Formats: sequence, C-alpha cells, structure tokens
Amino acid sequence: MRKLRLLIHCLMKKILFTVVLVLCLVPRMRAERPDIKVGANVVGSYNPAWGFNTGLDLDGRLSLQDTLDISFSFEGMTANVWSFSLTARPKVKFRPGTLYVDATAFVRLVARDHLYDFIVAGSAGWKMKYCDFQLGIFSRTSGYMRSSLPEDALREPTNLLYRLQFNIFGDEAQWDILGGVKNFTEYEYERMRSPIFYLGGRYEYNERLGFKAEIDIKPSGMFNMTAGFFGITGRLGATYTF
Amino acid sequence: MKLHFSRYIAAALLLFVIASCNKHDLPGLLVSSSDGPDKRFQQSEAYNASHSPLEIRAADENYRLYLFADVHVQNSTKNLDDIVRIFHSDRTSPVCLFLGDFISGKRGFSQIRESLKPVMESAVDTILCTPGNHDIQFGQWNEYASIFKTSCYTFAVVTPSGWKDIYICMDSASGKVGRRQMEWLRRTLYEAYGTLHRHIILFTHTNFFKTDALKQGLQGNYNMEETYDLLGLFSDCEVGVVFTGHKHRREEITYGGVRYVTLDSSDDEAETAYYAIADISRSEIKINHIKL
Repeated sequence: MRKLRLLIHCLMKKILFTVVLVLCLVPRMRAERPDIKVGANVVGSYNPAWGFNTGLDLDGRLSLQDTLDISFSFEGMTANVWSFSLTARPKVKFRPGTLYVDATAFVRLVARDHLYDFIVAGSAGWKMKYCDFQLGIFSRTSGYMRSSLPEDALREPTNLLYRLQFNIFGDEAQWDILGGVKNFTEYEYERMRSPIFYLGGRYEYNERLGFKAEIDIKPSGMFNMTAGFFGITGRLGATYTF
Repeated sequence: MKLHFSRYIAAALLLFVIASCNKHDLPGLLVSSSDGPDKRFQQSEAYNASHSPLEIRAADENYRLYLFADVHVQNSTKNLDDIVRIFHSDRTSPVCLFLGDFISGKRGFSQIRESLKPVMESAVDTILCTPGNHDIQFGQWNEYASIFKTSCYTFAVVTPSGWKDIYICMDSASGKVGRRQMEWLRRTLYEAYGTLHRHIILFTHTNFFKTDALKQGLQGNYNMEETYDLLGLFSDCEVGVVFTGHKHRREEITYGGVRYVTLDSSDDEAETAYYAIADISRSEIKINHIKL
C-alpha cells in the first residue's frame, strides 16, 4: 500500500512535467494544418452556498492531426470564483474507438473565501461513437491566498476521477444529445463521492460554427444515503473552428 | 418472452433487496427519507426561539469536555453505557458532546434513551448531540427530534471568572448545510467572534477533508462549494477547534489557523473503539483519545 502511495505521488509530479513537456514540443511537431477551435459559454448557476450566480466560459482547443489535443479553459463567475485549466491529450485511433490519455493542470481561485485549489490530474479514456468513458486520479492542494505558511496548505493526494457519457447520434452527426455522470468538468473537480449528472446538446450550423448547451445537476449526500438536491449549472454557447 | 420474464424477476429481486435492507437506507441514494437540512433547520429554529441558549457553569477555570462519535448501536450498548458511566462519575466535566450516528439502520432510539437516562435526568451533567446521517435514515429524524429537540444551536460554558467558551452545533447529517443554516451559521459565528470569549468551538458530524480518499469507503462529504465557504468562514471567525466524526478514523489537521479534529468511532463492533477528552484551559485545548 505504501508503495502504491509513493507511485501515485511520483505520478502526479510526472503529470505536471508531461503537460509542460508537451507544450514545449508543440512547435516542433510538423502538423500539416492544426485545427483550432474556440468557444464561449454564458453560465447560470445556483447552489445553497453561492446562491444564484452567472459567469462566462472561454475555451480553446488545438488539435494536431489525430494524435494530440491541447485544450485551455477559463471561467469567471459573479460569485468571485475563477477557474483555469490546461489539458494535453495524446490519442491513438483504433477501429472501434479512440484511446486517449489526459494530463491536466487546474487552478480554481475561490476569491470570495480567499482559498485556492491546485489540481493535477491524470486519466485514460476510451471514446466510441455513442459512448465515452474516462477514469483516472487527481491530487488536490488547497490553501489560503492570504497565507504562505505551509500549515495553511493541505494536500488530498489521491481522488478518483471519472466520466461516463452516452451520445445519441455520435460525434460525426450534425447534431447530438448527450448525457452522463462525472465528478469533474473543465471548471471544477468535485469529490469522488459527489457525482455530477449532466445532459447536453450540440448543433453544428456549418463546418465552422456550432452551438452547445449543457445542464449539470449536483446532488448532495448521495453516499450518506440522505440524498437531496444541491445545485444546478446551465451553460449555453457557441464554438468556432478556424 | 423468456428474456422479459427474467427482467421482471431481476427488477423484483432488486426492489426486494432495496426494501428489505434494514441496515442501509438504499432508496436514500436517490432521495432522503427524512426532512432536508432547510426543514430541519426551521424546526430547530422554532425550538430555539422558545428556549434561551444554554449556559453551563464550569466549577473551575479549566474543565474537561467528553466527546464521542459513531456509536452505531445495533444489538449492544456496551461502549455507549461505558462512556455515559465514565462521564457521569467525572466531576471535572460539565458537558459531553456526541458527534452523530447513534444508531445503525432501523433500530430506532429506544435503546439510546435507556442508555442516556443517567445523564438526561441528571441536574449536573449535560449531554449535547448533533445528528449523523444514520440518525436520519429510514425517516428517523422525527424520533431524533423528539429526544434531542434541535439540531443546530449554540451554548456556552462559563468559567467562575466569567470567561465564555462558545459552542456551536451545526447539522451536517445530510452532507449538506443548506442555505438557511449557512446564513444562521455566518450570523452566529460573526456574532460570537465579536463578543468577549475564550474559545469558539464548533461540532458537527460530517468531516471536511479527504486526505486519504481511497481508504475511506463510501462516505459522502460536503460539496466543494460548501466546503470552501465553511473553511473560509471558520478561519475568518477564528474558530478554535472543529470537532467531527463520520470518518471512523482519527485525524487532526490545522488549516487556516483552525484545528479540525475527527474522532475514531465508539462502535461496539469496531476493532479499536475510542472516545476523547478535551482539557480546556485559557491558553489551550488539549485532546486525548482514550481506548474503550
């Protein structure tokens, strides 16, 4: 068990290193014509801690042939919470689906409470036409913005990360409806026992312009066997491919 | 046709398992069988409004506080009876705190009433409780409330020289604080922070941190939004100690200047059952975990 812990600890450091390394290698990769996709969402959210709040998401993705995606996401909410994430996704295509590995660095500044979360995550996923499954681990370091004392930073070294998504028409269709369960998004990482259920849709207006919408629903206390509604977040936005 | 028939049988079996499980409230995975935190808070507020907050007089400047958690009474009440007896015979301790999960499953609180009788009927001893998730499963919140009346409240221990230690009980049995209780907590904590006091001590059932998340079984915690707000609030109001249970494993973490102490379980069936005593003086709160 101790060996496993040490292994996980080393793994987390390596994930960060990998993100930086992949970013350094990008200019050297001879992609013929990388796809660049940018998107923006308006966000509306309610939960009992932060009440009603709204915000804006910005995200971008650089795809190099069919081998590597690099994604960036930003979210600012009126609850005074700010999120940034950077993900490198090397992927390999097989006949029945695509195998991918995500290495993510994520920062959430909860300025309203003077707290921050820094997360490194590593996961592997298998994507097929109607189904996408992702499993991995993440390490959370939380701290107080106003303090540099080591006792004011806390590490939760191993948390499980998961996502199971089903699509009705698949990625290549002009429009699609999707839904599933996960414990993380580009803008937040929940505890492993606090699942987020989601339902969304996507419509490609033409080759470049697309629209998307998603609703995330968070229950509370599911694994206390005292489940109730906790919060809801809605996102509505557009994407543009260069 | 055969396939459909086997599906019906599987569904019926699943329903049977869900309905007949006496230990875990499996439908609670989807919807709680007791009132939610907002409703429990309203009921508690109604009780608090007609009863002024308790003020307990300590015999000395330094006094002892007894704490225990997660008794999970099923068949035997041995550990619970032992703790009650030890507390009852200790004249240096005016108060004992129970941090939730008296029962396990559909047992009800009849055995608990019997075990707590010596301290409930005593004029000198006070035992105060916060509900745990098991206490409200199977719709048992009403029974809990009929004994303990309120799930979020404050009380104070006053020393002979007039110093006050302010205690706040937060209801986290649902793994959620809820909007109304959060407002009350914010108001109460800032009010306590602004008055002359020695220590602010908060106690609740659900623990805050997942420092060894993969080892902790399937216990639920607060959602991250509430976790951030609570940790920020406790730090801003300089809470001295936050006592929790739920995890069945001892842990002490200092974070943002606040000590978070999670107790072992006092379950009869636990391999190592413990309770804790906190020796409270003006300058420090010294905690010892004692094996049962």
